[in-house]
Amino acid sequence: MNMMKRQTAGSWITFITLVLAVASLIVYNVNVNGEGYFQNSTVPQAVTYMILTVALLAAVVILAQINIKGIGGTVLELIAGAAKIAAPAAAVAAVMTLVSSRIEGFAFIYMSNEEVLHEVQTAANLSSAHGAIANIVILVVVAVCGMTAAFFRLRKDSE
Amino acid sequence: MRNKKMANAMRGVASITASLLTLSILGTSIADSYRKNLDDVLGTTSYITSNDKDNARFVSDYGTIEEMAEAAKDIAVREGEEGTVIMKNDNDALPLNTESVALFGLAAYAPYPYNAGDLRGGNEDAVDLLQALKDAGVQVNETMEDIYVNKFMNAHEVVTENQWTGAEEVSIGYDNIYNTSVGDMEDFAITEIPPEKYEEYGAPKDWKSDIDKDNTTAVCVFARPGGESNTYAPGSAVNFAGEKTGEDPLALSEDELAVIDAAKETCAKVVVLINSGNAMEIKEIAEGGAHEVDGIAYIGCINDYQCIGIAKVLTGEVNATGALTDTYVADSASIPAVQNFGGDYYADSDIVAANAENGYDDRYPKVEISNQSGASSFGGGSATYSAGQYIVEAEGIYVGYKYYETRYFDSVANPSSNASAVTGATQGDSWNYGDEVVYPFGHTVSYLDYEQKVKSVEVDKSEDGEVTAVVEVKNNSDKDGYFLAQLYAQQPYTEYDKENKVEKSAVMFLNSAKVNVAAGASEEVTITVPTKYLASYDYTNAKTYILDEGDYYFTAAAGSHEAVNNFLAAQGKTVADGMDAEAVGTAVVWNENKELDSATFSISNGTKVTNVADDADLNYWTEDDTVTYLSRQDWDATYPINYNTDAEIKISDSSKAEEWIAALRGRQYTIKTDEPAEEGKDNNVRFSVEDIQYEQLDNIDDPYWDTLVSSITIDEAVGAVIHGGSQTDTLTNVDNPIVLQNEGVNGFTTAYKDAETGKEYHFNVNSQTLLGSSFNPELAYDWGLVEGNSGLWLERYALWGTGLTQRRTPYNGRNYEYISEDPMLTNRIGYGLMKGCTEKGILNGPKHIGFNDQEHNRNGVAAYMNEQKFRETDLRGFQGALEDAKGLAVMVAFNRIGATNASHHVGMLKTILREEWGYTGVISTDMMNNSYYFTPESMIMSTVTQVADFGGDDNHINLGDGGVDAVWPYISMKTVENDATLVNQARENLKYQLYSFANSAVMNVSTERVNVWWDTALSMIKIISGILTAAAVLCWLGATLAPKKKKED
Repeated sequence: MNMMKRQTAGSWITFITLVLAVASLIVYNVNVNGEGYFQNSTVPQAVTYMILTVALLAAVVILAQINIKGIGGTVLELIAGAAKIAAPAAAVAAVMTLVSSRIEGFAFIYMSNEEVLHEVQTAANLSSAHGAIANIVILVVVAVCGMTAAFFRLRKDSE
Repeated sequence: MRNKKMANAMRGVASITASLLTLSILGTSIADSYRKNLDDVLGTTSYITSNDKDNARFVSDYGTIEEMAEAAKDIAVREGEEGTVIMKNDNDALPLNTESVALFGLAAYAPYPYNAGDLRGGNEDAVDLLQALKDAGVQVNETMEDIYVNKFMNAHEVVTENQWTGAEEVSIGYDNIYNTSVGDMEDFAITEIPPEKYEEYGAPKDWKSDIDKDNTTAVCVFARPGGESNTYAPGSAVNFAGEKTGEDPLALSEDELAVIDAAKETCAKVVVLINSGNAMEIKEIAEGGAHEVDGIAYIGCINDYQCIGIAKVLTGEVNATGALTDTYVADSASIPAVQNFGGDYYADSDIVAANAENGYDDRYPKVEISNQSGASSFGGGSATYSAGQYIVEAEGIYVGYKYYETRYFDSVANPSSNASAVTGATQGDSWNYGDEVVYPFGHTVSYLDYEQKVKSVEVDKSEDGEVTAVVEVKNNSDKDGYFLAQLYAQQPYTEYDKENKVEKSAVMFLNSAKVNVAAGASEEVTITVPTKYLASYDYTNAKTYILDEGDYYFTAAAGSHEAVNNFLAAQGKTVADGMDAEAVGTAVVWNENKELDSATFSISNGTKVTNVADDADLNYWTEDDTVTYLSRQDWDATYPINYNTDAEIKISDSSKAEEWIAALRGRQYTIKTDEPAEEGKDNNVRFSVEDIQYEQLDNIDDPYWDTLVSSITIDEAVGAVIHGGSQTDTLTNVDNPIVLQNEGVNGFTTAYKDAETGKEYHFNVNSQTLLGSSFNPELAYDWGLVEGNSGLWLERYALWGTGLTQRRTPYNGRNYEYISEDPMLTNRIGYGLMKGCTEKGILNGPKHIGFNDQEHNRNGVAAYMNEQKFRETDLRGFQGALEDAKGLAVMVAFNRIGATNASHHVGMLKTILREEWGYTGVISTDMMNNSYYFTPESMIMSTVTQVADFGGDDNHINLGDGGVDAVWPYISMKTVENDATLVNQARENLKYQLYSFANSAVMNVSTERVNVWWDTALSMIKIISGILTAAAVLCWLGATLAPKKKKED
């Protein structure tokens, strides 16, 4: 059975989740480097959680391709399983850290006094806020997909 | 297979519950930080205040909420009665003939502001002008009412959904209404419907025939709005047709004048009401104007009940006693301050930017920080110091009437001063007061004939002495009445002053009072004012306040111009010498100061008073006489040029360029690295009624306070100041109460809901404009008491509840929040208001100390000035409230003073406020919206007690995580713990804050944090998800590790 055929729905969901997690890092970088309210507003702790999410998902994908029997196989299965449990939790941590650091910015942009809204809601600031929201939404999707993937095994058993 | 399925399922469940656990742990921390905001959105109450009314130090004067509401309403009505200013009254146009009045103009049927919110209370029983006039017995022409109300305006409810709570919010909308948004130096549309369009908009063809011309008085009302971050742009008017006219937005437009012409055509008399916080250009309708009307009155910006009082004045039920808070000029282009307004970039502003070329800012290694002024005054966007633009306030002390009246005085008494030169004239080939000024500051027209005369003046020339003037008010009419007495002074202008660039206005308002006088009788009213305000600041030689030798004149007059003529007459001048009218009053001379006194007012509260703002002067940086300040020595040669367009200011040309750039980058203080701070530890004292006794309340130097604040940890001391937020932060070893901040300048915007009836009461019913034009500090005191009482009912104790910034020009979009162009009128109104509020234990912080003269580019524009202006204009406006009335809070301006962010200005905030004025209250920044503009170390060192942001209970560096700060990454425990000076100053700032709370109604209550439903929900999620995670992980491990079942099994 070749490698592709051995993949399960869980493998594909995990892989997509991994891609989305990488995408969230890219969106984050674009957001903090692009013009607008959150320019240079880095959140190292959120980055740590995002990288952790990517690393855990990558570990799951890689470990799933290693076919070892016996105790070694069981250990790998435990490690992969633990990574599957931890990855969405890390994504949630990233979401919460990011939300925590962005709340004030959102408050400035969306909840300032009516008289100043037209000045606060500049194209650059709105674009920046949209970028931050997109970042958060992607991470939420990563967390949900990660949880979903945890219900699936990642590899069909060898015949 | 069953084991595998079980393992998969349990792993999935574990991943969900672990995620939930993470969410609830981190969510709890976030929710706690933003508790106040969550409470607002979710309608929960996390802080329960217990009010021990039997032992409370501050108690309400009102036993029921109805009494409280009635008191607030009474003040608002009195503001209408006492603040309405009759500016012109010919042909007995006023009081109105109540039998027939036709109202013209959109604002007649919806005076500004018409919607509830920051500017207006919105009580159910609010009364607008139309209703107030009808209630006062005025027969209002029904045809005009129908045309405007039903055809033009068509009021309707506008329902919008709150984007956060989803709740429906209802406001009033109109099909046609005047423009309520000024914008930020943008085109301003004046949308008054001209008569030529009446039929097109639904008026009957024969509408004119429905007005009984011979017996009808027309009342035309025109409005100009205001708003935060709004600034009028000279020459920006757009007419009803949408065409740019090039006219001034504060001038009556051609469409408005057409309405007046139509009123004149259809009515016997015409009265125009000015509904604005900004002085308008109305020469067209004043005496001799092309559209002259019979009567003009100022009604300011109304609130819920002011129209009742306004109607009483218009119908003559009460005498008119209001006076103009600003000079009304023919053309605002003649105002010296307008020559430098708006601002622009330095020629080489990019030199301030941090980049590879200029060098990086070591606080932000390798971060490119531009020097662009934010497109929006609320900033955001790219990293910028926002230090690119500046204005030069070259007019010095000559703001408003002080310029016009002094130049007029000199044109008569001192012609060699070139007072009549063409420079500064807008109406002819030479400068002539009568051409430039339409109505002077303090101008008032009383229905009842009266005289006012200073009978005696005593001057106690000591540091805390007072000027005491006895003014006789004589009622010459046959009716009992209420009258306004205004006290003015003239200081000597000596050779010493000329040699040392000390400027003196020929007239200065000191104070005013009102008095009831029976028909034909006289009453004496005593007016006092601290003597220190007679002194002038000499920034070049004595470098302190001086009191010149010579004659000091005092007079009582109906306005600044009448006062100047009284002074001229007292000095032997007549119409033959060039006076535009004979004096109607007399002046009293005080001349007991026989020699220049530079000692009496050189010490204040034990602090030596000397220059603290040399670097606010552009000449300090350019090191030559780049700026020529307006001087009465030569009006022609010193009239301000525009220092943006007529001069090139290059930072790099200065030998102090490095220092200048550092100041513009906000580097007023550099954090030390070699002075370890002592960590706070529990000293077993608390912020409690047990520990705070009379001695502690009375004396901020009591050792208790130092013991208390020395217990604050380094992290919390710095964190609580720089993340001040919209509420106070809880300090671990202090157990201080949570104090929520409230808006706004017209009173608490929070409503009181009666639990029994469900009725809502709004107490923000003040009008700053009419309070100012009442010229009555007693009324301000009464409003302060009511505002304070309302705080006690609402159980809210901190309020940004008045505006005391000087109105430097008519174009500031927030003039409606402020009192006057005159610092002393602002000072006395502020004094009364703050005294009342403080007596009720409310921390009422006036906005925005430190030259917030324009909203345009307010977050960074540099206002350069000399130190005489610095001390005698905007700051003097706040001095009455903060020093004399011992106010408990103040908010700082957004802009820079010179190159220094006003919130970093040690000279203003620490030396002058804290030391010279003995001010011990809260100092808050305006909204901290740009971390490159506001720097924490500089704010701490200037004694700011809280930096305003949207945060909640976040009293730590990095919002509680320790380590690197999220807003200012160069701030961390590591960087501040080695600077004892900085940390101790932060503790000192918190001492001021805690001391203020101790002396406020905050001590009435104990604050208890209770768990609300979402606390419980988060706790439950945490516990349940924790248990489930553990269980699911165990099951998953069990299922994974259990031996596989054989197929045959």
